[in-house]
Amino acid sequence: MAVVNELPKPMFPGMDPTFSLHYSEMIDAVNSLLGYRGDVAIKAPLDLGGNRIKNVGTAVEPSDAVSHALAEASYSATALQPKLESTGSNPLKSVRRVNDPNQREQSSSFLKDLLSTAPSANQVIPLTTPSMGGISVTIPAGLFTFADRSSVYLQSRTDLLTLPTATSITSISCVGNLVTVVTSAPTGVVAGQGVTIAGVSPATFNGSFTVVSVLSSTSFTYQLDLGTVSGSGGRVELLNVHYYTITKRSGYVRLLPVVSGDTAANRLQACFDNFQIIAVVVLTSTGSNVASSGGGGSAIVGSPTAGAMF
Amino acid sequence: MADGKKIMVVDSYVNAESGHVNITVQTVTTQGNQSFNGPKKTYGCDANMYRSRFGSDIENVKKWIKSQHLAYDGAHQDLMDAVGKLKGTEI
Repeated sequence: MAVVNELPKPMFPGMDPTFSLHYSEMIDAVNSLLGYRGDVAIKAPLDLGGNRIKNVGTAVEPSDAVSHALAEASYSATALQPKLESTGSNPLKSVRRVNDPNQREQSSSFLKDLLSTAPSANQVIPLTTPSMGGISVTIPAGLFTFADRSSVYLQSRTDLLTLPTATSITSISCVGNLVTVVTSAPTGVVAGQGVTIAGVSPATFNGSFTVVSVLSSTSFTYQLDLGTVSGSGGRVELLNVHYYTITKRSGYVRLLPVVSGDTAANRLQACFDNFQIIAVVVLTSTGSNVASSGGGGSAIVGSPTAGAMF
Repeated sequence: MADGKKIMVVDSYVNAESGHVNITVQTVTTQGNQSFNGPKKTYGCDANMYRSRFGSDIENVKKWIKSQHLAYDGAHQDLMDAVGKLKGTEI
């Protein structure tokens, strides 16, 4: 594009050549400032003294300035908001580092409903004493700590509970890894239920097991790899397992309906509907099984360790 | 009960599924025109035990709870009387 001078350069015949030269340079400078020689080049920062730049055209190059209207339409919070939504073209992908304790929610309903640490860590220790032909179980008052480190003050409670029955064994034998037990009276056990075999000779038959199948009202099987061997004497003790729970933020301790074994499935069932187990009490026909009660210090029969379930 | 103390039942219900009886009580102490509530405690009893030990006479249940709760409330009364007076004193 040809360079055009808006201001012409008149000739001054007879004038001092130095004057003509300076005059010509002034004309060039004015034309440059008016843009008639292309872009106006400013050689120093432009100080407008707080005045506006008006009538800014549409930006073309990355270094072009933009108008207020364009900025509002393209870059304002209102303009960006729909793009940043989860369904927008540029959703926010990472706004919180979950493992960073400085960014962790301190008061989250989600965290509050998470299962807490094991009851053993919360020092919820049920006290059991024989009483009125059954057993008296006391859950002491105390603090229970949740996963978010908040705590609730547990209300104490004392329950009178019936001991489960024991039935004499008339015959017991093992073939391979399956033990068949015949009792003197119906036991009422069902497959999957936890039972304790005690007092049998040889003692290798004894222990806590899960019923594999029920053959009749007085006969059932459990799994134990003893080879081919028979035993004599002994009894079948059923377990009464009591789960003490709390719900949400309440310190009121509930006692769920009794179950027959401290199994993983029963613990999960006990934790439905926002119930949270705070203590387990296992009763046998002879009293409380302290080793299996309380904070779950011993293994669940045929399942992962009790502590792992909380 | 002496000293203006009463054991009040604040909640009672029976679990419809298991028949377990739940009775929550609280000791209320009245001094002058002020009353103080002690900690709540729940006493429970399974259905078999309730029927065999308490029968249909509710007074039997009240006696059991009263004997239990008096022991619970008064277990550390001597310490409460002694240490409770320390508050606000100079050592």
